Amino acid sequence: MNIQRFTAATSREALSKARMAFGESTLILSNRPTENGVEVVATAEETLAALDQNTSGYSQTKGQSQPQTAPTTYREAATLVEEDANQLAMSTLSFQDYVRERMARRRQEAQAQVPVAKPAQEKPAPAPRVNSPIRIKPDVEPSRAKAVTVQVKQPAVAPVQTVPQGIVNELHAMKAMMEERFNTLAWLGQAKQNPIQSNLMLRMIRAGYSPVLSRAILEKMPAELAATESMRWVMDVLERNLKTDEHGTSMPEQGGTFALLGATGVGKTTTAAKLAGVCAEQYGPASVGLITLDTYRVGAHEQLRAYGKLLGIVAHLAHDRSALQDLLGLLSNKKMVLIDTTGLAPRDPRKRELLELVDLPDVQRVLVLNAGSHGETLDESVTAFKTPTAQQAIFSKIDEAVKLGPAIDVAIRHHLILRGITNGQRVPEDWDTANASNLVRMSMRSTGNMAYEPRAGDLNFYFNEPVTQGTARGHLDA
Amino acid sequence: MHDYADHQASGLASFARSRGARLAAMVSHGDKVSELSLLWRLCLTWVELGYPVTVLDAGSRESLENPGLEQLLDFPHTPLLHHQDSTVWNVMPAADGLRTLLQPPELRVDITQRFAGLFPDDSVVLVYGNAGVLSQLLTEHALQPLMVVSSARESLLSSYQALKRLMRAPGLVPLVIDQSAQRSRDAVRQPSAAETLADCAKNFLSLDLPRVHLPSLQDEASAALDLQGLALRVLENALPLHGRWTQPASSGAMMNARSFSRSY
Repeated sequence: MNIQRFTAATSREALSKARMAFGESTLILSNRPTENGVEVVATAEETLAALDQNTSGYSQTKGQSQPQTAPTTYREAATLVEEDANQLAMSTLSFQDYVRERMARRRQEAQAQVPVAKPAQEKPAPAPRVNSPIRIKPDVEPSRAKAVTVQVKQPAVAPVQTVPQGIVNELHAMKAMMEERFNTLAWLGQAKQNPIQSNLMLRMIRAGYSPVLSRAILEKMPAELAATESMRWVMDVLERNLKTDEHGTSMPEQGGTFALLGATGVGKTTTAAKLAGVCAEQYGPASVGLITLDTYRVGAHEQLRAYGKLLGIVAHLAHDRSALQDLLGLLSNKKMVLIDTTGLAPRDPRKRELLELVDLPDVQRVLVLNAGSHGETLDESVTAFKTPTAQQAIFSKIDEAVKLGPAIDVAIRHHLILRGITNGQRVPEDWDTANASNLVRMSMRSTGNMAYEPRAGDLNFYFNEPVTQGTARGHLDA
Repeated sequence: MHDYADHQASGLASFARSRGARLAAMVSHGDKVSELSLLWRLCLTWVELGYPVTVLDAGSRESLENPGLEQLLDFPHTPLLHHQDSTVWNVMPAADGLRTLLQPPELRVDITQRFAGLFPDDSVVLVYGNAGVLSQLLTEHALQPLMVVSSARESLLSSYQALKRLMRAPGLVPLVIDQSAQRSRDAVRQPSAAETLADCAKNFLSLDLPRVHLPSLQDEASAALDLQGLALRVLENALPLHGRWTQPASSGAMMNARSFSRSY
C-alpha cells in the first residue's frame, strides 16, 4: 500500500505536492494542522482498489479453505485475536473508519456494476476477520473478543446510513441558524434601503423594544405608508397588542383575592398599600383585607401594618399555607384581599415554595414588574413567575423608568394583562389604570443617554442573534 | 419640597376610617390560670405590634386609691391614661363603671358611643368580665369575645354555663381558645374540653362554635406566631370606637378631679 505524508506551509501547497506524487487520482486520507503548517496523508485511488482486490481474494481463499481446515485450537485463536488487536491499536481510529468507509462504498459500487448472478457468488465471502472472532468467541476472554467483534463488524453493517443522530441534529441546527442569519441579513439590507423602515427600526430599538418584536412588527408594515402614517401604524400595533383592563373592570372594582408576586424591590408592598387605598376610597376601609406572607424581610409586616393603621385596617401575617387559608376564611367578607409576598429573585430556589403557598383556588396571582428594569431581567421574571392561566401584571416605578420599551415589549410577547401602573411614591395617589395608548406614546418619546443609544450602523449587532424559537415572537396582531 | 406632604401616605388620611380605639372582650368563667395567662400574652403581643392596650377588669372595683373606668367616665380628661405610648399598657378596675353603664336599662347608652374619645387612637380596649356583664354590655354588637377552655377540672362546666349566659344576647358567639396541651400521637385520643364544649354547643344549643387551638405549652417560636395570629384576628373582629381621643393636658395632670375645690 502506497500511502505518503506531505507537509507544507499551507494546505494548498501540501495538496499540490500530493498531486505531483499521485497525479489526478490522488486520494486525501487525512489532513491536520502541524507546528510548521499542514500535514496531508494521501494515496492513489489505484492503491485502494488493489487493496480491495487483495482483501476480497484473501477472504475468498480463506472462505474456501475454511470448511477443509480442522477447527482452530484455543491457542491459535487467541494468537489470532492478539494479532488483530495489535494491528488495530497501531492505526488511528479515524483513519480506519475512513478507509473502511471508502472501501465499503467502492464495494457497493462494484456490486452495482456487475451482473445479477455475480453478487450471489460473492455474497458468502465477507472479510475473513468478521468470521474469525465469531468462531472463537466462546473460547477466548469475553472482553477482548467483544472488542474485536465490534471493531471489525462496523464496516459490514452499511456504515453510510448509520450517521449519529446528534450530528444530524447539529447539522440541522446549523442549517437553520445559517438560514436565519441570511434572512436577517437580507431583511436588514432591504430595511436599510427603505429609509422609513430603517428610521422606525432605529427608533424602536432606541425606545428599548427588542429586535425580535421590532422586526416582527416592521416586517408586517405595509410598504406604501408614508413616514407619519408608518409611525402611527407602528404605535397602533403596539397599542393593540398591549392588553390592559382599561375598558374592563379595574382590580378594586372587580374585587377578589390578589397575591402580588415579583422580584425583590419592585414595590410590591407599596403597590398593595396603593391598591388598598384605592379600594378603601371607593368602598370604605372595611372592604379591604391585607395579608403579608413576608416573614423573611426585616420590617415587612411592620411596613404593611403601618399602611394598615393609616387606613384603620389590620394587616395580617400568615406564616404557612394553613394560616393563609384561615385568614382568607376570616377575610372572606371583604371586597378585596391583597396578599403581599416575599420578594424573590427569579432564580431563587424558594420561589417554588412561594408559588405553591399561593396556589389556592380563589387567589389570583399578579406579577409586579419594575418598568425601569432591563428587558432580559423582566423576561426572566415573567418566565419564573409564570402562571397556568392568563398572567396579570402591574408596572411599578414608571416614574423611574428611562425607557418603557422593554416592559411593554415583555408584556406583548408574554401576553400579559396589565392591571395598573404605579407612577410615584405617593400612596394611593400614584396608582393609575393602565392606558395602552399613553404607555406606548410615553415609550416612543423616551430619550436615553447618548452613550447607550444605538446608531444606525450598530443595528447589525442588534440583529446578530438568530431567532430559533418560534414562540419568541409571539402572536402579533398587525 | 415645601409642597410635599408629611409622608408618602398622607393621602390615605382623607378617606381612612376614623382611627379610634377598638373594643374586644374576654369572658371570665373561673378558669383564672388559663385566662390570665392568655390575656397577659395577648396584651404583650398587641403592645409589640404597636397597639396601646387598656384592659377594663370587670372583676375588680374602682377606689380613690385605684381609680378606674368610673372616674374616667365621670372625668374624661382625668389623666388616668397618662402612659399613652405603645410600649406600656393599662389595666384599670371597671366593675363600678360598667355597672353604671348598664343601669338603669332605660337610660342605657350604646357602649361604642360612651367609650368614644376616652381611649387613645389605634389602641385596643379589652373588657374582661363574666358572661352576664358581657351579654348586657355587648347586646346588638357583632363582637366575638374570647373564651379560654383548658384541661382544668372545672373549665368545661364553667365555660358551658358562661356560653349559655352569653347567648342571652342574640348573635354573641364566643371564639373558643382551646388551651389543652398537645397529646402525644400514641396516646389514646380523648376529646379536649374545648372539643366537648363545641359538641355540646352543637347538640344542645344548635350552635357552631369557632375554635382556635393554642396550647399553653409549646415552643416559643411557634407560640409567638400563633399568638400574633390570634391577636390580629381579635383586632379584625374588634368593635371600632368612633370618636377622636384628645390627650389630656400634662400641666396639673396629677391633680385628682375630686380633690378640686371650687373657689366660690
